[in-house]
Amino acid sequence: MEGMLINPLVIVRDFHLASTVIVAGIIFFDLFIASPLWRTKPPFRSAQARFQSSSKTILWISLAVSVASALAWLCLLAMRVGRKDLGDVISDGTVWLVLSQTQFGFAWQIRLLLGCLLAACLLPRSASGGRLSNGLAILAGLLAGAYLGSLAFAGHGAEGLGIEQNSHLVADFLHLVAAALWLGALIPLVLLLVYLWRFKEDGWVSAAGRAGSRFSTLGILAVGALLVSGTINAAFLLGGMHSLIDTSYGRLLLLKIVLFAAMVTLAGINRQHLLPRLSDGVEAGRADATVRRLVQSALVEIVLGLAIVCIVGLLGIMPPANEMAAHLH
Amino acid sequence: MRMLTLATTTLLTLAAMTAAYAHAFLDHAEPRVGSTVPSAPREVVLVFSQKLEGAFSSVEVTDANGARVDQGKPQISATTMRVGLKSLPPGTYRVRWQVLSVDTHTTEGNFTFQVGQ
Repeated sequence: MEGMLINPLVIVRDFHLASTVIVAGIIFFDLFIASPLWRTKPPFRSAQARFQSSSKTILWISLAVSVASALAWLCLLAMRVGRKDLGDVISDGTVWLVLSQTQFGFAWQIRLLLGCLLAACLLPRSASGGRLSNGLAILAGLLAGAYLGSLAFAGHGAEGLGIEQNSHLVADFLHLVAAALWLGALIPLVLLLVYLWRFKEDGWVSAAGRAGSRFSTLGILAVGALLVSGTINAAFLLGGMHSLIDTSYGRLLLLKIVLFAAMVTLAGINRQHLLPRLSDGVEAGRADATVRRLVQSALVEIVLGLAIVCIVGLLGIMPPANEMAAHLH
Repeated sequence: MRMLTLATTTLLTLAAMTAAYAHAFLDHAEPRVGSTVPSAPREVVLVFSQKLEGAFSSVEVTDANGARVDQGKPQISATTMRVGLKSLPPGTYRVRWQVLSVDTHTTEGNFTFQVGQ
């Protein structure tokens, strides 16, 4: 277990998953929450400008980390399967062999192409100060979803045959996109709330409430998607509840479950108790305190979400609890 | 209460939703592991639990002296890997395999079989 914790492949997987979720999350947040908000009256020019500048910076950094970690993942995989060091797998063509002769490599070609297309789609956003036309925004959302969701093709989705394989694929795709809708969108949510609160332009309280409510609704959809996709995979991956205790894989999974439960609980508290306080007419001090608590809660959820990502990276290199022992006959 | 129910249900599904990648374990082989066959087989067939990547999967069969008795590059189709054998005199033979499953995990193993003893 200790060896796995410092396994470079685990670390690279974690970075790739986290950065890709953030990329998609920022784009989804912009499409479904931020852009509709900026079109309402009154305008929030200062908050909008700062939000778009900050989210643009985080988006490009995350996309760069995502692409770099994807390439690192490819190289590390080549080193592992070729049992050679980095210089050798590059010079003797093992990296190219993995990229061109394996299912993982084919998926990676597609993903890197999607990443490049996404970057090209986002360039006008940078040139126009953070705003995309509706058409480009939708295209960016689709590309981001495809870039993230296609992670399913590189591993888990490749398992099994026929209906089992297709079910895994669809469930994994759905699960990844749902993760971005919730976890990935937490960072832009924090930015939006902070900037609305900082500049306190007219109508900022109800704007914060509307943004929070929209996010909460998307979060419920995301949890629902996790529910559906998880139910589909449960039939294939769970070998019995006892595995959650009897195996190291199961115990890690339990930890992930606990962290996720904490996230869902926090989100529920926010929706039931904090968001209703954000409406026009609420006393200024109370609005400040509510937004502060929302931001703090979102930051805690981000930390919990990153911990979950780390666990996913680790679990991804372990055989699942229901893996049949090699039986020979 | 509704949030608690939703949370509990989500937890159970999340338990299944981890990106659990499987390994390709040997499901069965022909000749069977540890078996004694009356006549020399023409090939060794290995069937695994997951689909294989041909470019990074290999098998070799050796005799008691360590000399290879297989005919080189195996044929791989989905979960099955087969390699032709030279004419085998009676004796003990060892099959060593190393495979990469399509979800990028490597596994390896070995077993023996006997011919005519």
